Amino acid sequence: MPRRRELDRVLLATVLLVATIGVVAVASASGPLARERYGLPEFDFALCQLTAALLGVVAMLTAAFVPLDLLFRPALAWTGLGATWVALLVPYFQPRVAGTYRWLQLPGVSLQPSALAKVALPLALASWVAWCRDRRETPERTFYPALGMTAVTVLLVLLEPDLGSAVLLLTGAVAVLLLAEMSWTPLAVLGGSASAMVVLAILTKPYRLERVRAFFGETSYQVQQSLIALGGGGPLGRGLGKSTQKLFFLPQPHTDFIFAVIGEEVGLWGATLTLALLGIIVVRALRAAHRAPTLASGLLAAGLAATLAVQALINVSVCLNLLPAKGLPLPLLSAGGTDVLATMAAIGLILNVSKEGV
Amino acid sequence: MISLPRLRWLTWALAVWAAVVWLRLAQVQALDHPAWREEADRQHETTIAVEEPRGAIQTRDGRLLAGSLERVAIYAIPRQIPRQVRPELAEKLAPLVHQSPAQVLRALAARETFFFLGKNLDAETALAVAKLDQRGVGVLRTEQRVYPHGALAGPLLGFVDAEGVGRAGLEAAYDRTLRGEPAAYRILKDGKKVSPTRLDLRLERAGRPGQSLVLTIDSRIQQVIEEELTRTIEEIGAEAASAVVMDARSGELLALASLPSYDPARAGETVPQQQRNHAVQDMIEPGSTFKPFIVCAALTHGVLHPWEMVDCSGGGLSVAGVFIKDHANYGVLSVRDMLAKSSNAGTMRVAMRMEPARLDHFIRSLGFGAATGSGLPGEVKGLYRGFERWSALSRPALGIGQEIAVTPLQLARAYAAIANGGLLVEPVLVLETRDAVGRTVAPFRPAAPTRVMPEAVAHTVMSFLEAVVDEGTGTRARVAGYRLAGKTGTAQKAAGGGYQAGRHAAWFAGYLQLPDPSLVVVVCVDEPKATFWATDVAAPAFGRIAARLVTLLGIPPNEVRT
Repeated sequence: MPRRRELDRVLLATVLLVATIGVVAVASASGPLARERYGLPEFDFALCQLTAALLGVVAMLTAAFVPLDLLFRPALAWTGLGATWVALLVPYFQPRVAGTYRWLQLPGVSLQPSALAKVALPLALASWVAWCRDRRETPERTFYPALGMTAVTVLLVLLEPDLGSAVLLLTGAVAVLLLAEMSWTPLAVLGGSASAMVVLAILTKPYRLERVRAFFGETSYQVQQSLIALGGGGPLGRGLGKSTQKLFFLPQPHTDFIFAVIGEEVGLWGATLTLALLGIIVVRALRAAHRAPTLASGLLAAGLAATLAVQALINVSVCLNLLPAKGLPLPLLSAGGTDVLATMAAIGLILNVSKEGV
Repeated sequence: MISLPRLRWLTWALAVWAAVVWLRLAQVQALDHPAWREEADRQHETTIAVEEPRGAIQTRDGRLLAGSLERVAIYAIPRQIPRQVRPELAEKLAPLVHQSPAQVLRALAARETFFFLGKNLDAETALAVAKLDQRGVGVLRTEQRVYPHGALAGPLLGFVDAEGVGRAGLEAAYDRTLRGEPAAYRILKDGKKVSPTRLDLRLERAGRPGQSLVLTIDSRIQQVIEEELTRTIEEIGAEAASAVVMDARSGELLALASLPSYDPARAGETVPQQQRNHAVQDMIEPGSTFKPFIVCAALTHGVLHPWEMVDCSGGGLSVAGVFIKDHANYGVLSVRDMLAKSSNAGTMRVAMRMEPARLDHFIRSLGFGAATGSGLPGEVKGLYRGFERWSALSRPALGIGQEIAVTPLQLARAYAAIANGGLLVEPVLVLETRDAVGRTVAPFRPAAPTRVMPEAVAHTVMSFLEAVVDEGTGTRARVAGYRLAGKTGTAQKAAGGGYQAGRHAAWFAGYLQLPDPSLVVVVCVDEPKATFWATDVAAPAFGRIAARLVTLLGIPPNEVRT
């Protein structure tokens, strides 16, 4: 029985702080949109976000105190992944929402299964790799089933279509396999096929091609608006709630481009603080992975940390016109219940890892 | 255990990416901030101009010729109005815009974007619309231009278009003065580019209400002139008629009439021909009304003596193989009788005594061939060729008022110089401009007059012109008890290098009242039908006008008949 450590209080406090900032940011960014476009009360989105965050706290604490040994049992991990696949499959048999199969419609609530997959896939892979290592399986027999799990999950998400989430799933998978000291050849295979998949996905959808073309040519409307928001806010910002860009200039002020609204309202220092808080979360997660006593828990923490970091970096990079426009939420800050819930559950698992002894 | 070197490697990769992101963030938010702020302002803010009330136009005797009423217009943006509220909304809007609810509903269904449901509505309507509190329906402050005296001085006043911009006459000439400066507000707009979500008006530049014009026009004189011209048109039958009444000393125009007239409030129902101000836009040969200027020129340059007997014989004159007819063979006449009888042969011979360059200079010095400075839009300079392009016929032709075309205003101005002792003044239409609270902004300052002939010449010619009315061609211009002077003129209308058979203009230019006349009245009847002689058309019109003016202005007669 390994010695128990303290739960990482810095990580816990940071997460709660960022989630609170998220509720405030959503409240500011979504107000006019809720009232004018959707005819909802001004703080409707903020209340949803608050509810999701509170549920997320419950999920986080649950995940933090579930016995990790239990989670890493292959049967349970694979059951989790299998359940995720089912959740990903069901929408294909439901009416489409906004022309996509991204939403699983349950009575009273709609969820995005791809957000759950971002937790389930690293968990299953970490569990699988550790299990194979215990049995001293050959690298091939470890890698190809792992590749299969990844491929099925990614394809289900890709076909929704949701290229952004697919890229994040690949990120998680690559991180897990990379840190499991998988040899470079299979990693190259995985990386190559992932790149090929992304290129193919872009080439087959005209709107994606358009976004890439826009990135290399004249800035697209939404990114231009995002830059105007950030640049207009300047070093000190216009003041909380005083974003002008959220007044229907930015197409998605409360979701994909919430960082632009934050930057406009609280300026460079506020945006830097927000990024720093996200950075603390990632650093503490990587620290947990670094100090993890078992391979499985280390891989899990590292995979989740990499997913989280890449998601945040892609989102902010898009806002800054460093990457082609891609609809990914900013973790804990963008409006979106499922993603907040899944992110907090993921951080719960990282907290769980953090309190494992050496 | 996980691979720690690879974890370090992964951490570095993420750190580098994060560093790039932060540097880029600092570039956008700090270094490029001014440029982006400018870009943001450009799309967030817009300037709207709010027109100030337009100034009024009134006569010197205080009558309002043009004024503005405050009105509101109701606009609608149908795409912002949900379908389910429309029937009830139409029910409430209908009485405000004087339409049926069904009409309002149809109007809302037919369009998507901004349009006016009703215009020129009472200001109280704004309150009723505000009470509806319906997104997509609102009011704008507008003005309605009103002309309380209808068609009085219509072509002189001109009119404003639907946007309130002066398009003709004084409304156009003094548009900037009347309109004032619109106030400029900065307004925050949103990305939908429709009505602002948050009205955040910030005054950027204060406006200035339009100034009012006080005209030199006397509404009573204007009224008299228009009535008498109308009577002439009705009795004789004519295309148009115009008249100018000018104060010979100051150049102030007391009346400037052009008929047919029109109501500027209904300018949209007229054709451009009706909007023509014949007093400044018509070019007509002056005919015999030009003869006094030939005499003035000859006297000024010493080629004619006032008491000389002039050869008016021959019943005409043959110049360069062309015979120009006179009314009769008058034999030898004094200069006075030559003008009284309007002998063509006599004035042609006088004109031929003048050196061309000197005659040309004299004609130009009277203001012919140039705009008078009235500033009225569309004013023409008339037609006059310089002596360099004269033919052998030009001097005799000018002697009888041909080879030159003038506007009634030009002729009045030149006649005023004779009454003014040889001093030429500029015609003036605006006495002063006043600001919104009635203070004088720009009082009238007359330009210094120009001497165009010696005072003695002017007095001499004036005495000759009295003979025209007393015993010559202008006897029908007489008013019992009053000493008047003037000159008739019957011109054939020229077009395309020749004269048009049967189309004439009848002139009379006269003075009120001798020995020291201060008023010049020029009457021009265009294409009279029943008879075309100025003696029978224009002179009687002048007589009637003069008779009414002496009563109106309280001018005592020179002699009381017993």
